[in-house]
Amino acid sequence: MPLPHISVMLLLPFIILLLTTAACTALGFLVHRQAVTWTAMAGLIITAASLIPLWDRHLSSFGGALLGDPFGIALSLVILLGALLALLSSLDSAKRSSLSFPEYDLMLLLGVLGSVLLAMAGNLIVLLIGLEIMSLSAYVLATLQASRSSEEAGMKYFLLGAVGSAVLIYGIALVYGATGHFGLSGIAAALGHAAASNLPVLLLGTLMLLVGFGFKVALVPFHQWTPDVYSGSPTLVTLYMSVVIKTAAFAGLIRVFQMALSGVHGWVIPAEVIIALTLILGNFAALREENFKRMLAYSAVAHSGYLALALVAKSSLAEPALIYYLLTYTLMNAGAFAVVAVLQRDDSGVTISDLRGLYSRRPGLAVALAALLASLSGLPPFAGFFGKFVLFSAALQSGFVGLTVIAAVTSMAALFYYLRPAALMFFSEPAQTPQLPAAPRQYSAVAVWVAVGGTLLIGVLPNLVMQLLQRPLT
Amino acid sequence: MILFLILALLSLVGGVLTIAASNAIHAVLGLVGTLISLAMLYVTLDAHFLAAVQVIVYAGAVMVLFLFVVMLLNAARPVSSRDPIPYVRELAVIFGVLLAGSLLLVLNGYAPPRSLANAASDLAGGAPGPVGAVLLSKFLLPFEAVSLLLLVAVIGSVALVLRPQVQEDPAPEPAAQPGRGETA
Repeated sequence: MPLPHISVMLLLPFIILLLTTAACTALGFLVHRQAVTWTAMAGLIITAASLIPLWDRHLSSFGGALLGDPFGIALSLVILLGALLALLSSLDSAKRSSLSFPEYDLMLLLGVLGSVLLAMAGNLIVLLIGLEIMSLSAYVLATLQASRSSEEAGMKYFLLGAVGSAVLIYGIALVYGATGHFGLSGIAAALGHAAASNLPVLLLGTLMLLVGFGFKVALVPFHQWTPDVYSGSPTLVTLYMSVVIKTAAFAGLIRVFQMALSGVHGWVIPAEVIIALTLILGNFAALREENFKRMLAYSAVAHSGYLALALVAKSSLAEPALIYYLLTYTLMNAGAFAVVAVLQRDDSGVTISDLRGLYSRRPGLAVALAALLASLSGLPPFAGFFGKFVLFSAALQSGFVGLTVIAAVTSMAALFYYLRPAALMFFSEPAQTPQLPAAPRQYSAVAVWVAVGGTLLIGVLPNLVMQLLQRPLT
Repeated sequence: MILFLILALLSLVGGVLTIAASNAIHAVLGLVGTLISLAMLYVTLDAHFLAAVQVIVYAGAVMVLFLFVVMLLNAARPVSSRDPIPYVRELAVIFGVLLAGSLLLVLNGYAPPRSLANAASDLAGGAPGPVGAVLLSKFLLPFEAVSLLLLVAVIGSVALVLRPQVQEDPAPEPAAQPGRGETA
């Protein structure tokens, strides 16, 4: 059997990430953890730089197992941005979360490696391995803090994540059994002439893939781990999970369903039901939460619902909308969690009443958090508004009127829980709570303002991003 | 066909025993049963190398490690504490039966997409050669990526067992001034 064609250009990002990981491992023994973090950040930036020349070249390597199409590259860049923000805000917040050791950066880098592999995967095996690398490092990160809540969160995440992976593997096996292919393009091609008697097997496998990915991206009813894990993990890890893991898992989900399985009949209606449930339950459960971190967790579930609209919409509309929204989501969620990491006394986060009168104590943070919450709720001129607009219109133009109406109505309800903390920060007397921690926070502030500036910039000038995405993406 | 049914049933029984046994040793032995019957299934499919690996690595090495850990941690006592989610067993049975039923229905008219005769000739009587050739050509990227997966698992487990020491920030900066209106 001949060796497959290997494109070194396409492997370069992975090689750089691996070298960075190796360098960080060695440096961890020699220098302070902050120096390791700076090295990791430099590595992430160089990786991003190595991805940009690949943009329009549609390279593929290993016989189509690794795809360098704009879809994968764009989402890899979003992943790298999310990881960069996580590392930046960890430079000062990690000490207070007892995470100030090089193992944190190392696991994060390996998780990014798995995520990028997942985003660029061209067959189901590579996709699964990327997903597992990413998930394993996330389980470890969630458990890394020596505290009871962190251990509980990590254990819950591990058990439910393992179930999700098991279902996913079962689905992959059934899809392979029905089509005889692992490659995404091979599966799509085999659908045309698959024996009619194999279609039920294919459908069952497809539904299992939907369930498995549903665990990873937190779609209702497979979301139950999300509030517990997001609130129990150290806030910095929650930041990383809520942006990097979500982006990568959505990259895999959309790739499989839009590239390989869009020709399978029968999964769209279950997917619609799941999306509608996610939108309704995520938004309404967030209304009741008093803990800000749990509220953001339910908001992450709700956002999975919006993002999953790209699952059913036509691929030419869905993919640009998904990339734009994931970029926006990364900026605003990373920013919001970075603010929580600065404000919190311990890793249980802050309650909404802790935020009372924040403007009179920390005007800068209060303005930044208000802007991020406004963007999350989808108010113009922030990017959250335009992101929702493109996603909703993609779903609408693909004929999913009911889903679009549900999405629009629930995002109205979401205004309430996003804007209540914002209003409390400005129009309320400071709470009689103990003083917020007075710790150095200049790096977190940079991360937060990058996030705010980014949402504002691509919200006012969405074409900066959308223009780049007007081309065949896969 | 009868051989397949017997082996399939054995592996199912082992699997159920693994999750249902309250004693960890019994669970491990159930898993050994599943793995060995799987290995025999491989033999019936002419995948001899795979069967040998399955017995040596999984049923042999990994399971011995499992038993060691169970005995070292004295985890062999039966679990007697209250089940935190009491209804999950019934739910699992219902969904398991539903899934098994739908699988039976679905697999009724199943036709393999590639002919089995070709597969048999590709296997070359279950020799290790074809397995290695496929691993290093068609599945080269997954093969390399799995090594990263193992690396993550190793680093992760070491980091979790030997809790790393939290480092102080290098130059402790003067505490930030309390903001306006903040009572110290």
